[in-house]
Amino acid sequence: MVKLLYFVRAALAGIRASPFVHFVAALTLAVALFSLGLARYGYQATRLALAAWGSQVEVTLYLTDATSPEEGRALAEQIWRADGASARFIPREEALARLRQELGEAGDVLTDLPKNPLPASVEARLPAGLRTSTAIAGLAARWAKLPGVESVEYGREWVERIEALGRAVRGAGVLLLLAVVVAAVVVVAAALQLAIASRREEIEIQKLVGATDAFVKAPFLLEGVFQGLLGAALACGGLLVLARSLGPHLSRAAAFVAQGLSFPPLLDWRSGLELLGAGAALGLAGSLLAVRRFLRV
Amino acid sequence: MIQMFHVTKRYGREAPALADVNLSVARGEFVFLTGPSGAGKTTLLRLIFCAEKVSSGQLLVTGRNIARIKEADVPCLRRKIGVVFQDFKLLAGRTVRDNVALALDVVGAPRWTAHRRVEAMLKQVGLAHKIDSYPPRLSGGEQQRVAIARALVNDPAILLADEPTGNLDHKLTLEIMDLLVDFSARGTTVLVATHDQTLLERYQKRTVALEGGRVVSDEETPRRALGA
Repeated sequence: MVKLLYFVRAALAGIRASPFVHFVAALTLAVALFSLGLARYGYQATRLALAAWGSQVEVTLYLTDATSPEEGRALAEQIWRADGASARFIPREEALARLRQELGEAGDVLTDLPKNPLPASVEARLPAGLRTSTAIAGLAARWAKLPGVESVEYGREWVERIEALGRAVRGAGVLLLLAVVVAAVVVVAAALQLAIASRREEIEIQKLVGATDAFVKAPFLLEGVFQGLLGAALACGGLLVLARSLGPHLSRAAAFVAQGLSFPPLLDWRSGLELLGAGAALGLAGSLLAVRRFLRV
Repeated sequence: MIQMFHVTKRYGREAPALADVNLSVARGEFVFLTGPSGAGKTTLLRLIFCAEKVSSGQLLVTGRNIARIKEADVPCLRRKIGVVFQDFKLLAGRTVRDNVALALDVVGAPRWTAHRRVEAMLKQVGLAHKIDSYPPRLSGGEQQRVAIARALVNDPAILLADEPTGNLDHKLTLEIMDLLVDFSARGTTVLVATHDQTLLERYQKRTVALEGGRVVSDEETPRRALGA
């Protein structure tokens, strides 16, 4: 405990000794973490939007004319039980009524038809875990073989586009994360390299009076952590200011993207703590790198 | 306290800096190491506080053979040895108090204990009134006394001083030497490397003379000048 207090005092003294270098490093970390916070939010928002769109993915099983309404309802029940998809039987009459409604005024042409041309169907909405293109294709192939099913249709291209967009967002996020991690670690390491160089004499004297390697290194590691925390605090401040000014626009944007969709706040307690944790971890990683490369004890 | 058996120290293929040195220093003894520049005085001191490794032979410090000491055990050994240099090695940006307290910080002494011991130590070296001063504002003699306080605040068994008065005028030199002799009288083993012949004559202590890395004489009181 005594040593920990000493390390904290020594780390703060180190920061006071060269405030400009440490502030520039913390500011760079702040910019990196701010970008990371924004990217994380963007990723979250995109995922929510994709999930909202994905929930609209529907598989339609067109039934043969010989299938009775009872058999159709039993089929819907079977699909729900076997695969967890919320399935509903749509009789031929309902299908026609829907089409009429969708056509609006032009729907009157349907009145003169001698016979309802539309087949009965079962519409299935898939649970979240089954909304991938592979899973849907598998289900469609299996359902197509069920008795009474004539054909199966689903928006294959739509599903694949949603998936591709999700992959692109994830890939961009990973690249940005890597760039931020590398930049932050290098900046912290550079700042601490200067700190180590300026305190070479102090390190020599510490070793002379019996300091262990850990004793010499600990204040530098803490300096890195403090830099990271300061950078994260600045980034949180920036995100908070942005959240205040962009909040209402984001709500409108969410409503525009999908009905019922709402985006989470740009910064909440959890993401704030995560950013602080990330800042501390990046600071520690940078200082570890500097201590390993430049501190010869 | 210190025992050397056939100790040799080589740097590469050059002639040994120390060759086949045998030496025994008892607890509380005061010993001058003398000889011309390059005789091996500093190397001998550096071997004792593990700044260098022995090339061959055995070196026992406080009963421990440090010829085979592990790197991790060096800090523990150094806490038993105080070292004073000609250039003081003080931190200019730290107060006298903080400079002296450094030796207590590394052993994890609580702050209030450290303050008390630092104050007591500075009183012993006559610098209690300069506790909050910064080294650059002190005279050379005062700076060396701060360095001695730092070396002794941990109550080490051995004090090594490498040309401690090399940068000081005659009056300050005597002040510092009196201080070292005084600490020796209180039980600390003191080794002082110097080429100042007047000190050997004035203090009449055991003198080990080195030349070309070899011990050429080891006398209870010096009879003739060597080097200088």
